[in-house]
Amino acid sequence: MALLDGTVTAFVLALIALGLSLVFGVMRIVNIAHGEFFMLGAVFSWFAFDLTNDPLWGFLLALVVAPALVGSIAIFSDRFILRKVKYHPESTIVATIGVLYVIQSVTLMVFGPEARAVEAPLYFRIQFPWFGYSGYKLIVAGMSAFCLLGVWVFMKRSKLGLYMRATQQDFEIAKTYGVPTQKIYASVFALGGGLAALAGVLIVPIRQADHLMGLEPLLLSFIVVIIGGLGSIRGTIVAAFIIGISDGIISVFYEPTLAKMLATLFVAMVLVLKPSGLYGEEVV
Amino acid sequence: MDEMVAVELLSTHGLTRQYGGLVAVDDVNFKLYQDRLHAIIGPNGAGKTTLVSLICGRTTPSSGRINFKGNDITGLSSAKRVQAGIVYTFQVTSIFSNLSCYENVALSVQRNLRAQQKGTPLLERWSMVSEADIEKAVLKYLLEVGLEGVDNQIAGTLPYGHQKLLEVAMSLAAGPKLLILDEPTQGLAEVEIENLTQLIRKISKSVNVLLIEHNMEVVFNLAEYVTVMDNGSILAEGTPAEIENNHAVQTSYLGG
Amino acid sequence: MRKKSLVYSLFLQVGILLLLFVLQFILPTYHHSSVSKIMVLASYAVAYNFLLGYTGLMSLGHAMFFASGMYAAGLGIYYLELSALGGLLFGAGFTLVISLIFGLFALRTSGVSFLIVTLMFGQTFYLSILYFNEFTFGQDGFSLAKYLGKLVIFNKEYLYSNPDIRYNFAFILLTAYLLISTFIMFSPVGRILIAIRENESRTELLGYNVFYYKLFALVLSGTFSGIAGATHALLFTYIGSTFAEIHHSISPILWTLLGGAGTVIGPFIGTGIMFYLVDFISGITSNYQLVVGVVLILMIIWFPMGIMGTLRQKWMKWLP
Repeated sequence: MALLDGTVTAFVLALIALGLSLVFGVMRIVNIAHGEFFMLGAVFSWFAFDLTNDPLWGFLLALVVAPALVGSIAIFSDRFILRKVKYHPESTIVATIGVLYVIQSVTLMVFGPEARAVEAPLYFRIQFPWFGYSGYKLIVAGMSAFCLLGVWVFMKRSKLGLYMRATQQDFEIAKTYGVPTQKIYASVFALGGGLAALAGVLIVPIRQADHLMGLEPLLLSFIVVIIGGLGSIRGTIVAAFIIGISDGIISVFYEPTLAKMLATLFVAMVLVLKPSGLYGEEVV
Repeated sequence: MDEMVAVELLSTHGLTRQYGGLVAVDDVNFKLYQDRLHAIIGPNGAGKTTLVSLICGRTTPSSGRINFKGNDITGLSSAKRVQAGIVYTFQVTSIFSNLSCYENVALSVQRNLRAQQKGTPLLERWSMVSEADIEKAVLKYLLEVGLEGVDNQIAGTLPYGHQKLLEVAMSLAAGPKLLILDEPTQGLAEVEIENLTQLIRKISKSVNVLLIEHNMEVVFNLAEYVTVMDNGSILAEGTPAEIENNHAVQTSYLGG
Repeated sequence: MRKKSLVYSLFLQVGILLLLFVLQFILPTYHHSSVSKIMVLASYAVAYNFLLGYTGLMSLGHAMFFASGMYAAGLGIYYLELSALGGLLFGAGFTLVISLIFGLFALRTSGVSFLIVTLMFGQTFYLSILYFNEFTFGQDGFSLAKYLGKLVIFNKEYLYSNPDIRYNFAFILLTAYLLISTFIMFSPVGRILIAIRENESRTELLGYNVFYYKLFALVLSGTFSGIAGATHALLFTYIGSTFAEIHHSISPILWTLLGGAGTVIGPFIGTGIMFYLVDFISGITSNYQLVVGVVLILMIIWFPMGIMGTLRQKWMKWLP
């Protein structure tokens, strides 16, 4: 069962980490507030649930609205903050830390400090030979996989995806070929945020929403992106699985603090010794 | 030029640098002799800058060796090579734009002055060279390249031609035995080119100069020996006159 | 130009330090202890500025150094029954070793990777304090008060937490850091560090082994942060894991940038302003984080050079 749980975690983690990775790959910046987009997805989902009072409709509403809302917040941040600091790496880190503080504290004010639960839209159990398992969790895994595939197809096939990959390869050349780079940046940032928010909507029936929930996924997705290689989609997904499943297994055997400790230390050493991670700066 | 007493200063043996499938420098055996102003010419992508990057240590070779003054320097870091006397000026001028011209040259001067105190224990060395000594040297080098009076000016505010001169001053202050100039006249006006040519000629009397250039007039004005590169290898070598008459060079580069 | 800059710099610093010294006789109790705390934290910021403002390396894990000094001193006094001075020295030495080891690994990366490596190491340190809780009392923190001896000056006994002792020791710490900072920045080594910040490849190609200088800056910055941490432990007696948390790594970035990275007194100004701002906001709402976030954003967009930095650029070119 731990293995299945780990798989579900891995899928969701892959979504979040993918957002972070795309943003770094195309825009070359690190978004420290990325975890907050995830949290907002979960929180918006709660509001949707509160509004409609029906788990299924709430879920569907959130599924559509949350990524859109978070995407808009992302575009707003890009336009008024990131662009103003010209995407300079250290400045964006400071700026996104500021955004993190703002989002987290505003959520605290509006949502309150307690964690709140959201009912799952569908409740059924699947009987495996050895144990029962929540059907919803499997749905989460399925939807995540679908989204991941969607993003992959989007990046490889669509025109916007092509623009994004071109900008990732070489910003200057893309510009001279008429790629609207400013808009691409905004779109990528929105996409990244939207993916995280989506993950938040999916996960919230399984675990409660609270204003601090963005921090741990942030750290984990950092780990995933670094090990998988900054900017590589394939690497990110593979790494998400490694981390997700091993996290599941490790937390059965070891204390979470120790596990986190070893994980962060491991990541630091990877960066020091093999900076390009598993797949390096490969494009998609 | 009496070839018999020519002393070898720098040589490369089988020097190769490849990037994936592309071989930028291909098994090059390059020799540079003392007291002879040497120029490397060749079309874009011939491997000139890569060869020179290998020599000054900015890039590591895929294979091969580099000898300088009889020592194998292949394993030395670029900082150590500067300390040994190989100084490089960048193709696109690289100075400290936000600092004053004084600070720019002083940084180079202070290391060199201290290095000259070899033989005295390390701790004493720091105090042996005073700020006054540094100041004297800085002003001397600025004067030598024709930049008096700008010492308090912020380097980035200088016109491009003067920034190049500043970089030359910084390079001189580093105490080079071999000064490598990568396309020094690029982007300069006619007058500035003339000025720089004279400066280089003056410098070459006390320092060995290796020049990469596209401007043929400058090459024929200054160089005593020319190496022509193409596709990562040496196509031809000789005096400017010999090169001018070389058929292969004419077809591939001079467009003759 | 340089000499003039140095003279002005010393004048300015001495002026501010004199003001601070005199202030202790005028301030009411609450502000008295606030300023003491500000001075210790500002010392941390000055140490941080050495790496960020002068060498141009941003670290997201500096709380590790502050906390290691704090814990080494605290635990040294508790377990090894060291004296206060012994604790301080132990804290300094321990942090020196940690920053050296850390530097040897982390400085192999640069830019964003360096940032992330510092973040990760910082987190690891924080987590290890929590994990070895039996040894460090990290989860609840502990008070050093019972274990500290008394300070004896001119045959009179004082508690370390005595307000006057606190103020003056913090004052001495800040003074020392400011003066050492100035001395180094105006020396040839300072010139090299600034050059590394401005154009690293050029510096390397002028014959400098950039790695060693970065390491020097990191170890100095780390060790001094540790000494500030140890001093904090001695003067304010509480030793807790919050000082190793990432927020405590972000704080010096905020203080330094606000006051002006690359200026000598900028970090002090920044620390003071933020301290009082948070204090003020906390009186109104517990949600001061919002203010901090907004300040960070506004600052990085409009005043990336910080207060002193912008002043320097626009009017007072001679400010160090």
